[in-house]
Amino acid sequence: MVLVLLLGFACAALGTIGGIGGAAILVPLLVMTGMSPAEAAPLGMVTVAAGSLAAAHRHIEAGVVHHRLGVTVELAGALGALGGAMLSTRVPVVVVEAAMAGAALASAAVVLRRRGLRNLPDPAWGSADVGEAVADDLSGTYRLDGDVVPYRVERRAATVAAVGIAGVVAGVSGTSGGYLKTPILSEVGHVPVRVASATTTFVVGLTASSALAVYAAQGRVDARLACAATLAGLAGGGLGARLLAGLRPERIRVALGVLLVAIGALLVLW
Amino acid sequence: MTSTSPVDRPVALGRWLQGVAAAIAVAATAGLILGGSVATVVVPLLALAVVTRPAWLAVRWWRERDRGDAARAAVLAAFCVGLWVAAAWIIVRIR
Repeated sequence: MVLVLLLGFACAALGTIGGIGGAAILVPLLVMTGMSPAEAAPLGMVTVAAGSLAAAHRHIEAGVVHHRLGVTVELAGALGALGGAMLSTRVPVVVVEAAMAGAALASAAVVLRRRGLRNLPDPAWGSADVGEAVADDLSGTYRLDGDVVPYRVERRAATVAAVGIAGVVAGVSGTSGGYLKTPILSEVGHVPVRVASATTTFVVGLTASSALAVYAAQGRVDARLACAATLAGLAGGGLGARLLAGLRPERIRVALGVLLVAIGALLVLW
Repeated sequence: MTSTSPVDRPVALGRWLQGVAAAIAVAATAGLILGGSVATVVVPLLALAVVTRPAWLAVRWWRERDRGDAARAAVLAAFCVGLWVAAAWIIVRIR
């Protein structure tokens, strides 16, 4: 119980900073401490859903979550996850782990390789313009060190398709897939990493709630441990959102890259 | 993007979700202490609380005549809720 509280809190906080959910770190850690994967996986999803809920208020106030982008990509992600879940019994576990580790490490390489800022502040924009634009081009602005940075989602079809593929990986592996979705939004869609992280935190909450329905139907959710994971996720998600607001994009990218390397290493060791 | 694009920041949704998160925290604390049926309802409550976000957005965007985004949000919310309805049906049927 205490272990779930502590690890759940840490993973939800880190997961919210990097926009990766946190289940891909929490579940291997719980398994390493002796819990069965069947018991640990639902707790990972509970932590992700709670972290997403707790981070929402701060992300919306800061204007860093792009709901229209999140809804658009998650439709592809949810369909991919459904297809992946159907495939999951036919794919050997070792193949799933190798695919997840490879995807995490490749994402880390892409995220860590880039230097500097892609989207730069524009003095033509003011504080009143901060938020997601009501426009068909999935554009928006966010605040950075007192300035306002405009951005627009590039390569939209490729971004949506990539999130759909990430959904398949998520469905096969039983994770929220956040560790793939944030790098995709940032590096394929050219969305600022802070917006990508906050938007993914929104969508992985939905993925996690859907996965929890499957786990509940299978009778795999330990109710009291889930309560502990909920409290840990709520506290960790709130802290992570607060920390994300104060971090510069370069540091968020480094944090995301390090988390992705950690996920890859955990999956290899698991 | 043009400077005339209206900006959307659903602050009321953020406040609503903050309240929901606080209520879930109280329920989870009670479930942790009391266990039993109190603990059993926490996960469905949490999942449904998360799903209120796209549902809320769908209603808001529909009222603002942003029909395409409203439809996408409604489909996403219906997908998530549908899974929970199916799960509830399976759980009741097994019991």
